[in-house]
Amino acid sequence: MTLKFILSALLLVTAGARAEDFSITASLDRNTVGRNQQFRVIIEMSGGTVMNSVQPEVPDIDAFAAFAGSSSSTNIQVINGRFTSTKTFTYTYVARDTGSFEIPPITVTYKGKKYSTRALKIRVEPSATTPASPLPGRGGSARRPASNDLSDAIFLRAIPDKKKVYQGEAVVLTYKLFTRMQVTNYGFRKQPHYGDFWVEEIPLKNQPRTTDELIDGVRYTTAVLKRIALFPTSTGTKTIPAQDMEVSVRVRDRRSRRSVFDSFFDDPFFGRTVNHMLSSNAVTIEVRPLPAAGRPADFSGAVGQFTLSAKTDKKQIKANEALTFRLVLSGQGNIKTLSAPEIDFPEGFEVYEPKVSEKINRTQAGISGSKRYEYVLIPRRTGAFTIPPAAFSYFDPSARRYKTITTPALDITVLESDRTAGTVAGTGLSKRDVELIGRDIRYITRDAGPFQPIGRQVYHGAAFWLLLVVPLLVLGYGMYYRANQEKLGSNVAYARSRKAGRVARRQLQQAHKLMQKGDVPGFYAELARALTHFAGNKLNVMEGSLVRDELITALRDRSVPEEQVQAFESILAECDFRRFALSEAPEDAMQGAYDRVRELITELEKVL
Amino acid sequence: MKRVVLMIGALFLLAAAPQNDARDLFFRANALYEKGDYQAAAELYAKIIDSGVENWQVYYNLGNASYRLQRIGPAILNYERALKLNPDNEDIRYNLELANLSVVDRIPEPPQQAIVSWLDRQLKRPSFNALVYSVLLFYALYLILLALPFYWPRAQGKRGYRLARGLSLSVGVVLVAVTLFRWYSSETRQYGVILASQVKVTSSPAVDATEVFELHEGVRLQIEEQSGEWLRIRLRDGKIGWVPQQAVGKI
Repeated sequence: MTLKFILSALLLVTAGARAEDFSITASLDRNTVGRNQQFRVIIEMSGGTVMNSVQPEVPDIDAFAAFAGSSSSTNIQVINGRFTSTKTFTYTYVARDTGSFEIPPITVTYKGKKYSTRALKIRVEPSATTPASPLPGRGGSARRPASNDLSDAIFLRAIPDKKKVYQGEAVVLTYKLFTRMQVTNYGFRKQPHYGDFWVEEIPLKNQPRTTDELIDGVRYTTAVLKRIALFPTSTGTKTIPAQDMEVSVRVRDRRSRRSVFDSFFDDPFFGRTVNHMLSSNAVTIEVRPLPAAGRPADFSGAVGQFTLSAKTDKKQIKANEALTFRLVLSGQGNIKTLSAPEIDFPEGFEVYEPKVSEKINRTQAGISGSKRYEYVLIPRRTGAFTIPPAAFSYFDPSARRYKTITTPALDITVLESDRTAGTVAGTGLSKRDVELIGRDIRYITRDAGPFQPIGRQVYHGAAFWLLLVVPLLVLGYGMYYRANQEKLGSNVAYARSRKAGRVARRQLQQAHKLMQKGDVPGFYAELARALTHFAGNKLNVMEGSLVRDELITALRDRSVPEEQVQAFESILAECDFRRFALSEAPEDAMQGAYDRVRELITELEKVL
Repeated sequence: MKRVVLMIGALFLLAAAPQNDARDLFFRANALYEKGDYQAAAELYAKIIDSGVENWQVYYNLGNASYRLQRIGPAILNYERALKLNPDNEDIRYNLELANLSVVDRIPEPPQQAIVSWLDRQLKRPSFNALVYSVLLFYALYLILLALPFYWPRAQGKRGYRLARGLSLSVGVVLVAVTLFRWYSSETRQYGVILASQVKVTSSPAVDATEVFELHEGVRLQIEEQSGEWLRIRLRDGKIGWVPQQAVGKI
C-alpha cells in the first residue's frame, strides 16, 4: 500500500512537471551592431506540447531599428522517449540610430499563463566603424568624385512591376542599369531603408545578361542587376527610397600621355577606369487596404494564390503508434509569414508540435514556394476517427476577393495495440488509469482500543514484571532443585533423613487402614515399624539392627529431649504388648496410640 | 514481589474507571465527526486526552478532525503522536504525508545512504512496547532453556537444546540492541511541530534577537533545549534557532 502511494505521488509529480516544462528565452545574434546593419532577435520557446497558436509579440523597438522580416522554425526531438519541441522565431531588424538601447521583454501567453523573457541590451555604433561595402575592384585604380557629365551615359532605374498593390501583395522591384559605356565593375552600396515593406531578395544569375534598348533614339546596353520582392506591411502611398551603387567605367582620356610607360601602366586597354556613383530613382507605390467585405473569419493575412493539401502516411494504425499527418500549403505569395491552419484533431490523439519546413522559390515573377507541416499523432484509443478538414483563407489580388481552400476529411482506423498501454515508453499519459482522481485523508478509526494513562511506561505493566521475574524464579528453583538432587545422590544418611518423614507417613496410613479393618496385631506391628523406621532413617541406622534399645541410645546421643525419648520407648513397649496380648484392644486405645505416634514423628522431625 | 503485584493490580483498577469514560467520549466524538461537525468532534477528542489517557486512535482521529478544520499544525502534531504510539500504521503515515503536503516550508532531507535509511525505517517500524515485550520473551525463553537441564539433566546432551539456546540468546541480544537504540533515540530526542501559522526563529532566546529564518505551521523539528519560555530547535537540514515555547507542540 505504501508502495502504491509512493507510485501515485510520483505520477502526480511527473504530471506536474510536464506542465511546467514550457520555457521561453530571447537572445541577440550580436550585442554591438553598426548603424544600418542588420541584427536578429531570436526567441526560442521549448517544452510545450501544443505551441501551434503561440506567437510572441514583435518586440517594439521602432525607436532605433526598423523591422526587416521574420522567420520561424520548429524542431522536435525525442529525448529519453519523450517528445520535446522547440519553436524558434527570428526577427530581423536594421539598426537606424546610434547609442545603447534596450529591447523590452517579450511576452507570450501559453495555456493561459504569461511567460516573458528578460530585456536585452544592444549598442549601435556609428557606421564609420563598420567597413563600408567596399567596391570589389582594382585596388590600383584611381578614385575620383563622380562627374556629372556621365549621368546621360550611365544611369540606374528602379522599375516596379505594379504601382498599385494590396497590402501583403508582392511588388517586384527590378534595378536595371542603362549604360553607353563599358562597365568593368559595379557594386551596390548599402541597401536603402525599405520601411513599411518586408523585403525578399530574388537572386539573379551570377553574370547579368545584357540586352540593347533604345531610349529616345539612343542605344543603351541594359542589364538587370538586382531584383527584390517587397511586401507592404501597411497601407497608404509609400515611397521606396533610391538605391545607391558604385560603378567602375572605362573612360577614354584625352590628356596627352606623359610617357609610353605611364600609359602602359595606367591602362593597358587605352583608357582609364573611373569610379562613378549612381543613384536610382525613388519609386512610389500605392498600397491599398484589403477589402473588409467578405473577409473570412479565419483570414490571417495571406495574400496571393495558394493551394492546400493534407494526407496521412497510414490509414490504419495500432493504438500508441505514431502517425504522421502532412499539411502542405503552397503557392505564390508571402509563404514565410503564413501560419498553419488550426486543425481540431480528434479526441484521444496525442498531438505534437508540427515540424515546419519551407521551400521558397524566388523567381522573376515573385516569391512562391511551399510550407510543409508535419504533425506526429499518437492515437491512444481504438476506433474509427476522422481528422476534420483543414481550411485556409487568403486574398487573391488578381481576382480581388477572398478565397477559402479546404482539404478533404481523412479517416483513420485505430486498431488494438499489441502492447498494453502501460508499456509505452516514457509517454506517461497512458498510465492515467493509475492516477488518483482526488487525494484525501483516510477516514477516522472506529476502534476505540484500550486507553492508557498518558506517560505510562512499559515497566508500569504487570506483564513486564511477570516476564522479568518468573523465568528468574524458574531458574533459581531449578538450581536449588538440582543441588538437592546431587546432595541426595552423594549422601545416603542425608537421603534417608530426607525421606524418613515421607516413609513414616506412608506406613502410618497403612496402619490406619489396618485399624479400620480391625486387625489389631497388624495395626500395632505397622505402627511400631513406622516409628522404628523413622528413627532408623533419621539416625542412619542399618536396617538389620533396628533394635529398640540401640535406637533409644542413639536418640539420646543426638540430644533429643528426654521427654520424647521416654514417649518413644513407651509407645514401642505398648505396641509390643498389644501385639502379643491375647485380650482385645479397645477401639480408643488404638486411636490414641496412632495419634501419639503421629504427634511424636512430627515432633522428632523438628528436632532431628 | 507481593507488593509489586498488588501495586500493578491497583493500577489496573484505577485505569478501568477513566477507561470507560474515555470510550464513551470517543464514540460520541466519532459520531460528531461522521455528521461533519469536526469542531465539536475535535473538542471531544481533546477532552479525552485532557482526562489523562491516550492511545493512537484518539490522536489519529483528532488529527483527522484538525485536518478537516484546515488546522495543519495540530493535524500534523496529532498524527505524529499517533505514529509514536503505533509506528507501523499505514493510515497514520498516509494522512501525515498528505498533511505535510500543505506545509509551506520545504526542508530538504539531508542525503542519506539507501541502506542507512532503510535500516532506520525498519528499526522504527515496531512500537517500543512491542520491542520491549519481545526482548522480555526472548529473555524468558533463554532463562527457561538455561533452567531446563536442572530439571531434566539429559537435555544438556541434546543438539536441539543447544541450538535453541544459542538461537534465543543471539536473537535476544539483537533485540536488546535495537530496543536500546530506540530507547536512546526516543528518550534523548524530543521532537515538536510548529503550531503557529508563522513564527520568527531568532538567533538567541530573546524577543529583540536577530531573526534567522521564518517557519510556518506544520514543520517538524527537534527540540534541543529549553530556556525559560524559549526552545532551541533544530531543523532536519541542520538549521538552528530559538522559538517561543507556545509556538511549538511537543510530540
